[in-house]
Order: sequence, then structure tokens, then C-alpha cells
Amino acid sequence: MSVLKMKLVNIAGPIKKFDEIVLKHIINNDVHLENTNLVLDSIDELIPFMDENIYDSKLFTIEDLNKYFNANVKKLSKKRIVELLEQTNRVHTIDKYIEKTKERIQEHNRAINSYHNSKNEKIQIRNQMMPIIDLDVDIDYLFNLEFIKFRFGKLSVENYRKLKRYLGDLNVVLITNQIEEETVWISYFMPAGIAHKIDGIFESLFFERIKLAGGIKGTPKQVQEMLVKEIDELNTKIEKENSAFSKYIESERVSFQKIYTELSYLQRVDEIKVYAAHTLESFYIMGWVSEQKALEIKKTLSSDLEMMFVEEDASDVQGAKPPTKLKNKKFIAPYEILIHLYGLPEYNTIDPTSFVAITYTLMFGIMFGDVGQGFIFLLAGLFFKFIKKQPIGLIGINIGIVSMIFGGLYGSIFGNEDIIKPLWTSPLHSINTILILSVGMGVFLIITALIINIINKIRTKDYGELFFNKNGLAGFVLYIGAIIFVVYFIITGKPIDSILLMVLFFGIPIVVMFFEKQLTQKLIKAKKKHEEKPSFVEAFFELFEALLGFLSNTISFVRVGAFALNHAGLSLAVWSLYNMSSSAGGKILVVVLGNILIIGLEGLIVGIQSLRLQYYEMFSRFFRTNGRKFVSQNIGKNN
Amino acid sequence: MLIDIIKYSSISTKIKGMFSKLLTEEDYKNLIEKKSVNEVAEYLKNRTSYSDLLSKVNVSMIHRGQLEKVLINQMINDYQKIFHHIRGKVKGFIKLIYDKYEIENLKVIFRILESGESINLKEDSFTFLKDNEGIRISKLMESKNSKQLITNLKGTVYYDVLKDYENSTTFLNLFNIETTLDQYYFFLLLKKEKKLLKAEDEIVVHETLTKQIDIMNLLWIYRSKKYFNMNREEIFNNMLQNKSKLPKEVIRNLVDCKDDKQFLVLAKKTRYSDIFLENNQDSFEENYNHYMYKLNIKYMRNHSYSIGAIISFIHLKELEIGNIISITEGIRYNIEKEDIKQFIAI
Repeated sequence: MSVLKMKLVNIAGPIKKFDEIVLKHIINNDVHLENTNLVLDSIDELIPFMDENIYDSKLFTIEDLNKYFNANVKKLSKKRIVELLEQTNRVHTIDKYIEKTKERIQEHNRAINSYHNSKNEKIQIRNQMMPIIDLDVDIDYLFNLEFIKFRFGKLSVENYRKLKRYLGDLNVVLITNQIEEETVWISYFMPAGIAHKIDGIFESLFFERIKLAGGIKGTPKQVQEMLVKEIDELNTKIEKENSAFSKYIESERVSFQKIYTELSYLQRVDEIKVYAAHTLESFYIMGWVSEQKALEIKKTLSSDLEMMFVEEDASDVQGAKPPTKLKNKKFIAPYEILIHLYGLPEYNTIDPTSFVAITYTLMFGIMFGDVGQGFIFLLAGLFFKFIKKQPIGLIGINIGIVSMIFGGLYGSIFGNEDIIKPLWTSPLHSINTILILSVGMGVFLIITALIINIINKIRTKDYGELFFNKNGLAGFVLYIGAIIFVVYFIITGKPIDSILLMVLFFGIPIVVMFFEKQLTQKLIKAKKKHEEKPSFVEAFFELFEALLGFLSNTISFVRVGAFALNHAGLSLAVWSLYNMSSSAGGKILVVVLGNILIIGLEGLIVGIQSLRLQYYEMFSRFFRTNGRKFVSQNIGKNN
Repeated sequence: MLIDIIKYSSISTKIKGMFSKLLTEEDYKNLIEKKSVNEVAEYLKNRTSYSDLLSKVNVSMIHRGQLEKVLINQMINDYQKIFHHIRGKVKGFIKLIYDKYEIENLKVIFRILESGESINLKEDSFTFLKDNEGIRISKLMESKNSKQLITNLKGTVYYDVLKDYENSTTFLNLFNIETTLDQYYFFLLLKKEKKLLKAEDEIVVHETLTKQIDIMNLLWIYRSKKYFNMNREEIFNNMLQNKSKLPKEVIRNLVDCKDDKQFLVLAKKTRYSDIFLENNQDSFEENYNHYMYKLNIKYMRNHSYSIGAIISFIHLKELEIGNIISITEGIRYNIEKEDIKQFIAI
């Protein structure tokens, strides 16, 4: 319902207990840490922790290994945290485990690599044999010719390119067998007499020769068969190794996850040291928590005589602004997303979520009143909420229901106004009423916004703005006055003829608003010393803008009615088309397509316009978006 | 065109600002006249854009090495400013400049190791080597020789580039390693240029790159002829990427020259004749710098709304720092003023 009240808790204790306190009370415990060194920078004895985080590199390694395990960090239960704290040589255990796992994975990679390499070689030799497969000559003989030498092997693409530069000038016949991403398989023939020189050139290009003759005996056909068998063998070996490895991964996953989780926790503990400070023997850490949480922490720590615990109210804290955390009932919490789109309210001000929840839903319903189409929104909302499990679906449900209610009032179902009788009136038949009522609603909402702003200013003790600002009491009086004068004129047909009321409602507020800066500086202690000198031209234009703003913001609400009319008009067009089309199929098509168009297009526009009204006409009057986000130290997923 | 002006408007203004702060001919004239490194530093502090960085330094005590470090820091500062103003794919290309320095730093380590010394992190500053993408400096520093250094580079791209040398006693030497790293860098430039740049950007960068590669190749062939007496395959193997403005035939003929004199005769007939005009080989490198300087100035002027301007500015900045270092070295080793002038690219 509101911006959560915060307390600043300060915890101090012996350094050896730091890990325990962080693990038990800070991580996953909704604490927004404040940097102690910045807040208490005047105390010389307190120094920041300067050690490097020894867990960083370990976590880095283990995350790298996690590519094979796909494990998640889990939230540790209280019991497990105690266990973790009781382990005396936890760093050693983790190191040993990482080392062991790394070793095993590397072993696997090495094996797979070597299998793949020799398989690849054999495939290349086999391809090499293809053109001479029908020769009935012993391979051994072929490769040991007297005058021609033959070489087969691979080199890098880069060096292959270099070779190409001068290949034409060498006494070599080069056959390019296959070009892969990084390597090129080639074979070359050369006169035996210059073999030494040519081999030297190829060697300088890091040509890797693969000797065929060594283990190979028989005709090409026989060799071919042998190679195919060997490749098959290698394939089974690779399969075996892979399945053994995945078995290992499966069997090891639980303990890997345990170590991974523990390491993540320990790494975070060290990371949190940045926020803390210490003296020779004790550490000191502070953070913002909700009042309830403060009580909890106090209760558990009070039994421990070594620990010191102090809590401060937000208003007593100097040098740090409390963070804003919104807390709303489940029913309206999804609307917080509309607030976050605009910004985060300042601590201590009113949380506008409930206000938005009501006005947004209501305005959407008024603009988009239709029993059938509202029902579609309701269904979509239900789908998102309960099947996709997304809380935003709730907004869909709400606007769907309200849209259906107004559909009933307007007597509109899927845009058709003939099926049911309106409980109230159809927009197109009472245009003026609709428009005047929407302006009336605007007046009401603007007054509400002004009241919220006045309350906010009292809370933040901004008395200058409270009394003299266009959104403060001055503006409030002016606006109320204007409304009274207009309403009186409409009802009685003649203006109010009282100088006193004119001065009270218009004269005083306008003068006050004009001299806002001077009055603030004179009457209320100026907070900043070097405030720029207020200029009269600026003040005049600001006043002008403020008066215009009241008028335009009020009239802006006409759009609520206008869109209701728009919606009805569009529906009318669809049903006119329906009446014009002759075939039954055409009629259905027109209604279905027309309704899809209305829901898609009109729904989008109305959704945006409602938001627009919230932001421009109301939020700009009371919402200051300089809140700090509440960030807690969370690790892991729920089990 | 219009879109380029919008895309590069902020960076172009920035570059123009920095460009106008580069040292002028007048500045160089004054600097050459200085009698000590301290006076050079003093001048830079009071009269040039280096004042900010030098303001924290006591120039009367400054050492030549320290001055160099300050200059390089200023360069990094400029890069960061440029970086801040670039968006999109182009940023990826500009990033390659860091790779260049990283490679240069690596080369220094190899040089130290090959000369039999051990690495001292405190004395030699490896400004551009950072713990990233697999590079662990502490691990590199443990290397006792080039082979170990290559092994310790495992996990980085440089390992893939150099891995052939890891187990080769015949070819593992400083020359081969440096050449391989250079070849890799230019390969990277050409690859990324094609991938990340478009239209005018691509044309300008490609022009500069191919010209640079050509001249470096020509200088290499010349050196190989004059000093090393290598066979043609080795010469070809050690050339940079073959994306040449010169016809293949011409390159082949140049490689096949029987000595450096014949090479010069042929080289003077190519489009890069400017560089080989004098027969004094010392000046070729300087001519090359001068050529690049003119080229970059041209691109700065004609293509101010393209990445060409950025690249050109970076080249100019590098040349400027090279110039200042040349001047301080010249002063330190008492070289004649006229001779120092020769080493300055303007």
C-alpha cells in the first residue's frame, strides 16, 4: 500500500564473525547495504577492507566448468549455512574439487580431440585413395618411386595463402584435396633430386606430413577397407568416451552444484566486504531494512554478547538517503510496473500504485466499454495470469471486468448496440453528457493529485513548495476557486460578483505563485546559499504556464469521453459494413475482422492514452522520481 | 553523405579540435633548438596540448623514459575521448588500435626474452597489456624463454597465431615471431575492415591500408636484399598480406632482383617512387613516415566526415609522438640539429 518504512541497522562485531553475519543476516535477507566507508568517512579508525577477493577467480573457473554441468545456484537453507560455516578448510575443499573436476574434463577433451584428429586424418587418406581405387598396384610401391617423390599432409590456411604467392615458380605439382576452416589438406609431387629443397620450403610453412606408407600394405582397395574399419572403430571409441563422460557428469552433478552454490555464497560474502569497514578487531556494516526485518535481526543478535546492534530511523540518518521499496497487496502489485516506467517515488512520499490501479482501470473501462471485447481482455488476462504465470495478467483481468461493466452501461456487445439495452446510455446518443462528465472526472482527479502533492510536501518538509508552488496550496486554492466560479456561472447563469472572493481565490494565489522564490527564501530558511537570483520574466512565464497548465490539463480529460465516442463510432462503422454485406460468410468476416481491429488498434490507443493521462496530467503534479532503488543481496533460486 | 555528417558530426568536431592542437612546424623548430630533455618537457608543458598531463610532473627533474610515458598516456587519453564519441560497428574497428599496441607490447616481451634477460614489470611498462580475453599478465611474466611465453599465451588468439613455433626449434626465432604477429595484425585489419565498415569509410581505410602494406613490403624486400641475402620463398613468406596496389608481376620482379641496387632501379618505377628517391637507405623509413603523414593530412581534409578522419588523426598522433621521442633521443645523444630534422615526419 505504500512506500515501505526503512530503518538503518548498524552491525558491529569481531572480524572473525563477519562471514557468519553476512551469510545469516544479509544474503537473501532483503537488506539494502549502504557503503559504511562513505557514510562514516569522518571516523579515522574505520578502514575499508582492502584484500582482493580470493573467490573471484575460483568462481570464474567454476562457471567455466558449469558449461558441462548446467547446474544452477540454489538458495541455501539455514541448516546448510550453518554447515558451511562449520567447515574449517572450505577453501581447500573447493580448490581440490575444482582441480579434480577440471582434470577430468580436460582428460575427456584430450581423448575426444585425439580421436577426432586421427579420424580426420584417416578420412583424408581415404579421400586421397579414391582416384586410384581401381589400381592393382601395391601402395607401398607407388609411394616409393625412384624419380618422383610424393607427400601428403596439411598446413594452415594462412600458410597455404603464402605458398600460393610463389607456387608457380616451384618445380612442384600441388593438389589441393580439401580446404577446411583453418587447415588445408594437400598433396604434392616433385622430382626426387630437389626433394630436399622443396621439403625445406614446405617445412618452413609448417606443413605437417602424414606418412601413408608406414603402416599401410596392399592395394588401394584393401587399404580403403582397412581405413573404413579403423574409422568405425574410432567412432565407437568416441561414442564410448562421450557416454562415459555424460555418465560422469550425471553422477557428479549434485556435488558440483553443492560446491558451485557454496562458492557463490563465499564469493558474495567477500564482495560484500566492499560495503563494510573494520578496525583492528571488529568489523562494521550498515544497511537499510524494513522495520519488521530490523526487529527480527535485533532479536537474533541480542543474545550474542559479542555483537553490537544499533538501529536508526530514516529521519535521523545523515549522509544517506533511504531507498524506496514499494509494498502493495497482491491485487494491485502488478500496477507497480506502470510506476517503474515513470520512475521511483522518493522515500517518505505516497506510493501512487493504488491510485493508479483505480484510475487506470477505470479510465480504460470508460474509454473501452464493451461487454464482448472486455470479455476477450478478461480471457487474455486469465491466460497470462494462470497459464503463463505472469502477474501482469491481473491488469488484463481488471480492465476486462471494468470494460464489461461499462459495456453493460453503454449497452454495447462486440460493438453492437442493438442486442442489449443500455443500463445507462449509449455514448453516441448523449455526446455532451459523456464529455462533460469526463471533464468532471478530470477535475476530481487533478484535485486528488494536488492533495497527494500537499501531503507529500508536508512529509518531505518542503514548506516552500507546499505553500507557494502551483502544485502546492496556492495552486490548490486557485484551482478550487476557478471551479467554484465556473460551476456557479453554469448553474445560475451569472458570474459571482464579489471582490473579496476574487482576491481570495485568484489575487492572493497568483501573487504568491509569482513571488514563489522570493517568499521561499525570505520566509522559509533557504536551504542552498548560492541560489540564483529569481528573474521576473521567468516568474511571469512560469505563472503563465501554470495557469495554462490547469486549463489544458483539465480539458485534456475530454479525451476520456472522446475515446468512448470514438470506440462507439468505430463499432458503428463495423456494424454498418455488416449490414451492407450480403452473404452470411461476409457478415461473419466483417464482424470478426472488425472486432479484431477494434481490440488491437483501439485497445492499444486506449491503453496508451490512459497511461498518458496518468503521467502528464497527474504524476507531473506530485510525483518526484528521485527515489533510490532498493537492492538486496540475493543469490540462487528457490529449491 | 548527409547521414555520414550526422553520424560523425560530434566525433568530427572533436577530432578537428584535437587536430588543431597537434604540434606545428614552428613547434618542431623550437623543440630541435632545445639543449636538454628537461627543456623539451618545459616547452611541451608551457606551449602545447601536453600541458595538462605535464602539469603534475616536475619537468626540471624529468627523465627521458618518464617523458615518453607521459606522451603515451596522452595518446591513450585522446583515444578514450575518441572512443567515447563513436557508436556502432565502427567502434569495433577503432578498437583494433588497442590490439596493435598489445601486439607491440608482446613483441617487447619476446625481445627481452630472446636477449636472455628476464622481464621486470616495474621497469618496463606494458601499458597496453591488460588482463583480458585469456591474457593473464602474471602468467606471461613467469616465462623464461620464448617457447614458454607461447605456451603461456594459451587461450588467447596469439597462441593460435604462434602455436606452430611452440615445438619448432628450427624456426623459433625473434624475426619469425615478429613477422608472424605483424602478418596476423594486418590480416585482422583487412578482415575487420571488410566486415565492419561501409561505403566511404571502407574506401578510405582500404586505401590507407593497402598503401601501408605495399610500402612495408617494399621496405622488407629491400632489406632482405641488402642485408639478409634470403631466397625468394623466404622473402615471400615474410611479406605482409598480399592486398597490393602493385601488379603481381611487379612484386615478383622486385623479389627476383639480384641485389639491392637493381631493386632500387625497379622500385623507382613504381607508384611509391617518392620513398626510394635518394640512395641513402637510412632515409627510406623517414620517407615512409613522411609519405604517411602527407597521406593522413590529405584524408583528414578530404574525408572529415568518415572513419578515415579518425584513423588519420590517430596515425598523425602516433607520428607526432614518434617525432618528439626522436628529438629527445637526438638531444640526449648529441646529434646535429640538421640530422635530427631528418628524423621528423612533417
